[in-house]
Amino acid sequence: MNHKITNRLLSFLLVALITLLFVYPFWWMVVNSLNNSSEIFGTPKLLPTSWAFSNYHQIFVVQPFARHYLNTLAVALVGTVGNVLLSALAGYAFARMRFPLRNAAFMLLLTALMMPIEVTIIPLFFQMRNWGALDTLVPLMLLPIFGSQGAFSTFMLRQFYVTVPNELEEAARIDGLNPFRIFTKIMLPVAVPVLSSVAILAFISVWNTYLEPLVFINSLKNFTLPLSLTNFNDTYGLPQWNLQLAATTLSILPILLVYLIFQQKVTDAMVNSGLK
Amino acid sequence: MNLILSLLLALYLGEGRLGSKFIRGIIFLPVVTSGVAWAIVWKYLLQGGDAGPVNWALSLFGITGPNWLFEKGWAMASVIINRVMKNLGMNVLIFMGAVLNMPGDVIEAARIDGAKHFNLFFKIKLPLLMPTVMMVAIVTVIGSMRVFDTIKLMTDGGPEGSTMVMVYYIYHQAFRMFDTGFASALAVVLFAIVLVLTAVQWFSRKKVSYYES
Repeated sequence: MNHKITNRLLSFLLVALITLLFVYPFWWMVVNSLNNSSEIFGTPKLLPTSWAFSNYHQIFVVQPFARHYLNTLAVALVGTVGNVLLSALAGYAFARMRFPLRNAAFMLLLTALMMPIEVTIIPLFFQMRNWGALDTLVPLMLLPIFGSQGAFSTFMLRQFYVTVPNELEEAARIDGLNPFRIFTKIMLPVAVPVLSSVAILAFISVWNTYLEPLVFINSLKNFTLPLSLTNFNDTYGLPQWNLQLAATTLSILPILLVYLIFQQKVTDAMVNSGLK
Repeated sequence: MNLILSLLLALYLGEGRLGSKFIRGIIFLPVVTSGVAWAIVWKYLLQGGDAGPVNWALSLFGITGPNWLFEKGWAMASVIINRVMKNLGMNVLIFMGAVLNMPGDVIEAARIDGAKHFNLFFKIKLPLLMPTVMMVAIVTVIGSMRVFDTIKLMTDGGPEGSTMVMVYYIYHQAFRMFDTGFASALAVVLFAIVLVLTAVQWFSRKKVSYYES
């Protein structure tokens, strides 16, 4: 009996410890986003001292932060929608249609899937320069659609469509639907679970991407959030912690919301993607 | 390190103990958070002196923390801690899937045969989990080679290049030194390494699924 109680106590302690460890960073992020700059360099306190909500106003003043937010939102939305649409079409084609070099094309897709963006970033940079697309949001929107995230979504959808019974399609064909209608009326709706997890993953990845905007974007008005966050520095290039942390808090809020609402969905999608 | 921790945690959580659902939620938070945000927060946490909350917490126990990001060994340690915490949630979930799929009858049989905790783990559970361990190991290695935002924001490759990693080096050469030729060569090497690792993963999986059946 005694043994059982100590066991429970131990596991409770472990839970508390892990929680503490993982909440600690987030806690400090929020606390210090509400402190003024001198308090941050004092001895750390577990609660904000001055509750300086003005930080949250200030971040919009020192930088066009709202603009950065909208940029990121635009890129994430266009990227995600394009990614999902294209990968649904391509995934369906790879799974069901016969066309020359299909297997070769699929191998190519798998290669694209494995190709880290860092490997292709230099040629992409020159490509975008030739198109005059540098320092615009265009490359950031194109990459999630045609880059490895797009290849990944296509792969997932193909794997899904391979498992959809052929009879479903045959029945529709006998009822006189043409291939395009079959796709929009039947194949898209049945794939909604996969489509949504692919969409969530694409959205999170576009929202968080850092290397691509860093390479492609120069002017302040085209910054996305990750660039913007790193730019809250004073004239000496030292970070203004209170503003930076306030901005960071705001920037991860949407993702945390998505995560908290669709927790099961997000974790499942991510784990499956790791197992691919 | 990531492997061992996440494996242990997964085994623990897999038994559906107190609060395991809650922990799962918590440790997955950093996975969805952006690398940039995570790095910024950690850069703040790891400030030298007493101002950084990590050193402050250590000082409560009477330990004087190092100046994390600016001392050679510690800078790398900081980056590693940061990455481990960020990816732990992911690996734990993958392992949990594997733990839950372990055939219960085998473990039952071993237990009847008198296997104790320690033996049970090393002789039965670990071999059963080996394919997953292998997979997670390779994915983690590839992931670590691609660390960029953490390095860029936390240490900038320094001090004295002690935290320079492959991808950051590519970026540095191409877009700071404008030596794109050299950087491209590095990129090809990186790709080759990733390719080999992926191939290893592919083949080992085939072999492993054979023995599973």
